[in-house]
Amino acid sequence: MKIFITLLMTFSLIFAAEIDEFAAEVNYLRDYKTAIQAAKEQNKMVMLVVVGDYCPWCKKFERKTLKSSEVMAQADENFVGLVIDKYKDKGNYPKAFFSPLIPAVFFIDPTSEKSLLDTVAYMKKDDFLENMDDALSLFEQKGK
Amino acid sequence: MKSLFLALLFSASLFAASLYTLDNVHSLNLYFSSDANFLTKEKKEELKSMLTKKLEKAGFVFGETDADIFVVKVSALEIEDSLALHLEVGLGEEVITKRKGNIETFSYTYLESKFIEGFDPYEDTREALNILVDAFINAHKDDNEE
Repeated sequence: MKIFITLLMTFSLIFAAEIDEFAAEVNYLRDYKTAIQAAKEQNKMVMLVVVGDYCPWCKKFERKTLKSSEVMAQADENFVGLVIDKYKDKGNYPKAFFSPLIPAVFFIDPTSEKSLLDTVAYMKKDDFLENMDDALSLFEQKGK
Repeated sequence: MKSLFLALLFSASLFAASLYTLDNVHSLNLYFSSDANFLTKEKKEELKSMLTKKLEKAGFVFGETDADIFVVKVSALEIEDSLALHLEVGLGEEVITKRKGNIETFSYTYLESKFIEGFDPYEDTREALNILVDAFINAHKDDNEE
């Protein structure tokens, strides 16, 4: 049985899409509803990252910014990370987050499911960390 | 005024970024290719020397084994009385693809080009190559800063 599970896991890793591999590496979820539920339980915001498999700026944003240790630590501590493919996951997330430009990030209040702050385009690590701080401040203000 | 300054700063930093990733690019080999008649052997050597010096000044090293290939291509096309110039600057290297069997291939991991009209072909080429190489240096700096 152990061998079967190991083989199954190996095969699922081999055939996993790049977005799944990325999600596993940075510990993000792939399902919108699951992320909202988790965020409510943990009293955190959802950090929704919208990307596309055809988009080189998205790949660079993932590689250089989202995978950086500082951003990963901040995301892990204060947000529920969620990554979706703009087109391939269409229908599985609200239309409000169907961003015309990608990469896009929405910092979502899980209760209202509204974005408190959003960013569009590739951002460098330090700029993005500032946005994460801003989003956290907005979330804290809303809670008061 | 402060927001204008910040907006300018932000746009400048975005402008420097390229969609390619140039982390840890250090040693280069210059490959210069041109079919343009106005570029004599001497002019080609002049351009190669100018580009090498510029890149060395930016910290790149030439002459090492297995260096990445810094490709510069100049093409010219006569259209009636005008001369159209196509200039390309790229970085070529051996990469492992995600294809079945992890096929290795030569690939451009950076490529920018300019298509211009050459009034003074040599000077215009020189100027455009300077701009393209500056863009490469800035993109490299942007990717490698801490």
